[in-house]
Amino acid sequence: MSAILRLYPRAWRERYGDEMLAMLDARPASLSDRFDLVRGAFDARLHPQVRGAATPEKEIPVSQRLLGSMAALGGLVWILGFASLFVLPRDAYGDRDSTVAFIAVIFAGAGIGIALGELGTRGADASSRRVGHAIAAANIGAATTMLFGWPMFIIGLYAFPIIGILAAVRGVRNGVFPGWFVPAFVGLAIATMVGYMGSIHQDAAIVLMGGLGVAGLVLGARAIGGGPVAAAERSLA
Amino acid sequence: MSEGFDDLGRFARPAQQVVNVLAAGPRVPLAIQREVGARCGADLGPGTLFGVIARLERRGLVEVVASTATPRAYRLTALGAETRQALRAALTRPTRSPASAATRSPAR
Repeated sequence: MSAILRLYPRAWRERYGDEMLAMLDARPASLSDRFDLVRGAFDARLHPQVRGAATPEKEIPVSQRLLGSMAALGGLVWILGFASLFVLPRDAYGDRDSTVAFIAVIFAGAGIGIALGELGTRGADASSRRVGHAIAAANIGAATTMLFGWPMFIIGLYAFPIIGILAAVRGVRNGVFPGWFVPAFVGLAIATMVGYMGSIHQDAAIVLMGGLGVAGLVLGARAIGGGPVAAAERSLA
Repeated sequence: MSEGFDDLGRFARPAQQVVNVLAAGPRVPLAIQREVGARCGADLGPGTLFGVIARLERRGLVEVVASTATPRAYRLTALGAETRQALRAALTRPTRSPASAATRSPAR
């Protein structure tokens, strides 16, 4: 139920959230109550009644939530793609079925990369935002390159973590991503590339390669929840 | 508030019901919801109820009863009570029917 209440603006939740939860504890919500709550949340955002809720879009702009959702969804698809290597049946030669992972990497890599580039330069100056657009475009290019098969696939595969590191550094320098994001992302990106090289046990390599998906999930969750990205937006307001 | 709660759109009718309930004394939201249901047969959903409370509170018609108890109770303010009286008076005031008004108007 608290998940539905998260649809309400923050100021609204601070003012009425506890009372709404207390009421819903006393009288469990029916299906129509849930519908009414969702409708009320839309209304609270469209017609803010609580002081401080008048600028919810500045706190967490829709575009930021969309980019955050893209990063989170990309992270999830990336992880599921690599997880499919463990789940799908092997072929007659005992090799893993990599079709799902192949498609997942292309779309998830592009999604995470676009979000990373655009979110990392939010609230920054115009030239920095152009770099963010370039990073997003480079990720689309890397994804497109992978569609041409071997050896272009490998070029795109390595391009994702490398471009991602550049985007993470840019985001921290702009004060948009938290300081720990660069070492965490670089660690995951290097682990991913080590996994690509196949110089370690195959199962361990797959787990390592799935690591970048975690970065996408964390980035997305922070953007949707109004992390430092939102703070940068507020400073502009 | 001369037009009553007409400007509240879909919240107008629930607002009238909540104000009528609070006229009997302070109530917590759950009690308001139950009493509206019992009096009017209207199922006031939690989203609508708090949407109404927020609107009435913003207009200074209801206020939280100062207390540390949870959940908080709401009551009508003096302005809220005046508004309710004015609305009731407007509803009971005899109005001239269009037919009688037409007979008194000069022919053109």
